[in-house]
Amino acid sequence: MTRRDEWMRAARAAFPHTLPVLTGFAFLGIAYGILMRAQGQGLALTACMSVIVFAGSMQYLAAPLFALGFAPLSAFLLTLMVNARHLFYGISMLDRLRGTGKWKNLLIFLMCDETFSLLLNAQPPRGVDRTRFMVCIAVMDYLYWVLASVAGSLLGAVLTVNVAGIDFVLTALFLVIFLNQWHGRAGRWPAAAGVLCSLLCLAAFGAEQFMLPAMAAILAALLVWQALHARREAAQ
Amino acid sequence: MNGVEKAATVAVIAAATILTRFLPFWLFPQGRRRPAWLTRLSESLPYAVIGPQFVVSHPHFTLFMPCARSNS
Repeated sequence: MTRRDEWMRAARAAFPHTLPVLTGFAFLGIAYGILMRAQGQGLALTACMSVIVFAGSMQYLAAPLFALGFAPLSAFLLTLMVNARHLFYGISMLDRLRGTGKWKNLLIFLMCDETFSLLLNAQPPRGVDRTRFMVCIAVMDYLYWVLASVAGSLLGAVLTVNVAGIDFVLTALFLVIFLNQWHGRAGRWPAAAGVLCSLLCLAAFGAEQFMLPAMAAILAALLVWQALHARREAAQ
Repeated sequence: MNGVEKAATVAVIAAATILTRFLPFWLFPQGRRRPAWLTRLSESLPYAVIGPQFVVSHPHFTLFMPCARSNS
């Protein structure tokens, strides 16, 4: 089998897994392009953001910044805060990206929420190379986002569209992934802790402020749980 | 912002994003011994970190928690 055949096989195996992301990104990406247009920003800036930054929620948050004064330091700090969750994705992926060789840096660069969720769970079918499978998922998600935001920017130049509410596709994706993890018993406690901490922080801080406290609460809960676990094991 | 300032802002946002994505891999490269708590954390964390994404994307949770609703 040639290298090209192997990539084709990996792509065919990966594509069905990316369908929920395709649907979600098609709408969210188009909405982003339209939003940027509504803020007075053109195609080049929208495309640059999607190609170089590739972090949906940060791109939405940053959209109004370009109409304001030049403030690189606050843009830097805002990005660090909004994207701090990537640190947790990275720690989760430390072992899973082992053996991906020269593709590792690309996979890390492309690790958005949705790609992370897919890579966490999706297993390549037999006979399909794991690294190629992961690269295909990541690159497909990336292309969906870039193309959709370019399309949105072009659309936004000629019309106004209301796409509110369509992001439910991604909610469904996260729910499916959550349930998958719930079925694999090993992750039941951490999964429940994740949702509980998030709900508490959402109620306490509101949707715009809750991510950092939720991540901190999850980290604390897991570390305490580990410490108790270790102590119990030592006592036995 | 003028064109150059916009380009610089994109670069700054990209740099910060790349930093958050790569930092764990720079801090704990393959082969280097990791503390035991980190290994255990990297086993349980994947199950937990989907929580916030799920909760915040679910209209139910934000609808019935008035204080959680976003202001934008």
